[in-house]
Amino acid sequence: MSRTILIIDQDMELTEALAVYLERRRFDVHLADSADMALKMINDLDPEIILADPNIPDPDNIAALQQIKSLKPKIQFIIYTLPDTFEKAMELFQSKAFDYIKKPVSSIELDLSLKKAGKWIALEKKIERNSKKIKDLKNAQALFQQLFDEVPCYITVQDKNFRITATNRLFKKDFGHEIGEFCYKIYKHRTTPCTDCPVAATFKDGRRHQTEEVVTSKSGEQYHVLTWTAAIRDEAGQITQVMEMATNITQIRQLQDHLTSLGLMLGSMSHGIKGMLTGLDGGIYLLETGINRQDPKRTHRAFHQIHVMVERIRKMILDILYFTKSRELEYREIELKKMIRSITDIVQPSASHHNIELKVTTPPASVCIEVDPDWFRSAMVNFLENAVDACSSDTTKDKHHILLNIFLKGTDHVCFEITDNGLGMDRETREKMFTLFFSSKGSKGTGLGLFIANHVIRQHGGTIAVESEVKTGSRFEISIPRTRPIKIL
Amino acid sequence: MFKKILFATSATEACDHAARVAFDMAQRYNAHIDVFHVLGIPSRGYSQVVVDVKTGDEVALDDNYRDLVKEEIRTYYDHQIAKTKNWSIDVAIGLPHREILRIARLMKPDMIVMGGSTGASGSYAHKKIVTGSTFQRVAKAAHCPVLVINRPAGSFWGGFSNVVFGTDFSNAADTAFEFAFKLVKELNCDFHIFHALDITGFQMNNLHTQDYIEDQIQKAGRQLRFKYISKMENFKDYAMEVWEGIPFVEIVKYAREKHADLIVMAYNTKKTDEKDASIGSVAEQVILRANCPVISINRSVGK
Amino acid sequence: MKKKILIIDDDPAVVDYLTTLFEDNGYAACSAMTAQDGLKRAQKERPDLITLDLELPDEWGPRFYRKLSSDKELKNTPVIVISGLSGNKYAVSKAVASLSKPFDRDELLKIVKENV
Repeated sequence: MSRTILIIDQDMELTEALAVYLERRRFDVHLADSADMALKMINDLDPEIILADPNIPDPDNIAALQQIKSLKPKIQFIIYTLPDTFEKAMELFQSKAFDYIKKPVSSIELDLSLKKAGKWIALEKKIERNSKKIKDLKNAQALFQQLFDEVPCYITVQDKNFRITATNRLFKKDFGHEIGEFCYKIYKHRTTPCTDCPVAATFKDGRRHQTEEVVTSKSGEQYHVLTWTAAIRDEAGQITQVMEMATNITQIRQLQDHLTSLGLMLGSMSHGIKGMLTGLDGGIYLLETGINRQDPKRTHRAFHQIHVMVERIRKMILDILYFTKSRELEYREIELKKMIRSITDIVQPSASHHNIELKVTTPPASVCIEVDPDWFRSAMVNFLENAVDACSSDTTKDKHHILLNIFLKGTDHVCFEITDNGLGMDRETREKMFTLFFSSKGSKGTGLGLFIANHVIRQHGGTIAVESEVKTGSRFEISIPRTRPIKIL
Repeated sequence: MFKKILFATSATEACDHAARVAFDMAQRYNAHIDVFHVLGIPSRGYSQVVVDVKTGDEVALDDNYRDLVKEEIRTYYDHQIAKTKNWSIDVAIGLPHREILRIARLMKPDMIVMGGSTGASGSYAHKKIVTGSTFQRVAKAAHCPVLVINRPAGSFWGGFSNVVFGTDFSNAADTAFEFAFKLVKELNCDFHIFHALDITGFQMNNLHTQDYIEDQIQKAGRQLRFKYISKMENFKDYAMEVWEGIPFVEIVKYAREKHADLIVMAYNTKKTDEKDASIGSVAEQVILRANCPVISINRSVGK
Repeated sequence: MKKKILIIDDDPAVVDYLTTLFEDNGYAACSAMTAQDGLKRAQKERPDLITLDLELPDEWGPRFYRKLSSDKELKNTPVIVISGLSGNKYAVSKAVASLSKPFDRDELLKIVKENV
């Protein structure tokens, strides 16, 4: 394509001659007799080169030319002028002009100058194109970095030795700035690579792999993550690194567990509920007839029966609630003796009913503990009721007793020791007793009580130790911190 | 007798009573129980999307999902598994009856245990398609005895002690007899041998005289002695009976009368070359109606 | 002489309820918590009616019924099944009635009255 040239000169004769010459050189030539006129033309014309006689004596003309240059900096100016104003022109335009030619214009000089200008223009265009490319590239990279950072997954890039070479923001937030560390160390606190590592698999076959893992964050939190891996290749197609994306699905899994166990529980409970309702019916019947016949003994029995049933139903509902609502512990400071009293108040009636002696010893001084009173109480009641059941089902001994001994362990722990001389447990029962729905009590147990009690104690940062011997009795030692455990951040 | 039990389940309440019997058997007879669940039917060709049998949803299939289903089954039967020593869980994708038969060929269990038709579980229409005909297809083709519990009422027994063997004198019935006899000997059961004389064919115009019917009954009685009793050597705890009527009705009635906790019978497909092998549909009807578990044995068992 | 009812159930609350209910209505009542004990009781006490839970610690209801009905003296004793299990209606087909827990006590008394 031909280049567009605009010639600015008052001397129309000369310009015509130049035009003819340049057209023959395949330029697209346009003429203007003044800089003012040229100014009006440049927008539509958009010339690449302007060939101008600045007409030095006319300052307006010079100003207009300079205006054109500043408006269209890309246009290359070639100034031609009489030798006596040559220096003046150079002074005026300095480096704003691409070249200066003396009048009369020699064709060879003009050709060379135009050729140089042509080259220059091509070069500039190339530079422009490249710099645009670089800019786009920069933008894209920034975009990728941003995506990389903002993706709601943990992203790591790892080399063949599972060393982490890059991580995104979320990863840094939950796992720290651990560039150069081993993936298995950061995610799983292991000293050796994991078996069935998806990253290793991707290094091997170049394909995407998916696993579900349990990882531990720097704050000690356990997360269920779903991981995907993808190979990163160099130009030769060799896999140099592998990117691993891990999505945190802990909540989904928790919800799922919750729903499954709830569904399961409701199923296994409906039978128990029917039995309890029948028992409650019985209590109500006793109450009705007791009142009608004015039989205080029967009315008393009725109250006892209803009380027992309501307790059983209450417990079951609490069990259900525990499952339907994953609650956070609500810590309160409470005086130890007061807490113990509220626990024994619940258990005492059923112990007395079965002729079991319930002995309680507490530390002499007043002690405060920080627990979730409702849940802690219900856990302790569960342990004690378990002891009551163990005693009441035991027919081999004449007298039964339960000892609840509370003592301080070190400066920061309080210990609840429950000893009974009931049935005792064999090894299997001992090992399984904290699992869901394990019940050795036939239709009386839901299999939930100790499971939940265990859960509550653990939530309080406590531990449970069990010793038991068949026919002799059991000893539970429940130890919890006196104050709310502070999470290590 | 039962060392390996394959319990094929939809892991829904429709199979709960079958589960009760399957796990009870495993515990009682110290057997290994394999809980087998066909988790979905491929929806299109060989695509990775399957229809979950439990929910009816389409799900993408991968190992993760497989494990999830296994875990779910584990949880579903948690309290039963807790009491069972020897168990495993397997899942597969495909048409349930085909997959059950496939794993049965691999595992060679002593018995397949399954629930019957799902009946009126309403909203799970697809389940009916799956389970309903599944037990029929499995019973028809399995190479081992198939125990089906269709009615919840049939699941409250616990162990076998009183067995009814219903025969149509077919070849499969001979195999069923061998199995039933071995079972009653090993588990020390009472044994009731029974034949129902089919009088439905007489109904139309030529109703036979009672003399004729009773002749047939006596003949069948002789056949029972000849075919079975003669092979029982010194075994004494048996009774035998021939009743006339509609065969499946008579067998269900007889089992109820005897408080049977197990019925063993042949599962003959219709239109076999044996002319008396009409019990195929009879077995299906008995399975659907009986008050106790039913073990059916087809022609291919033991071959 | 008072008609005698044997209650077989492993839940003491239910046993207590049924005992009181029957005694209040002019029957004599005795009870057993297991199938084995139930059978022994039945043989000793010769009850006029038995209420039976399906799920007992040692045995399922149907098998208890079979043992009961194989005893010449007891086989015609009417049995009422009282259970929380589904499908109980057909489990003991010769029971005079099957009630689901929680049951309607007037209905139970009516059935008892009709059968002793």
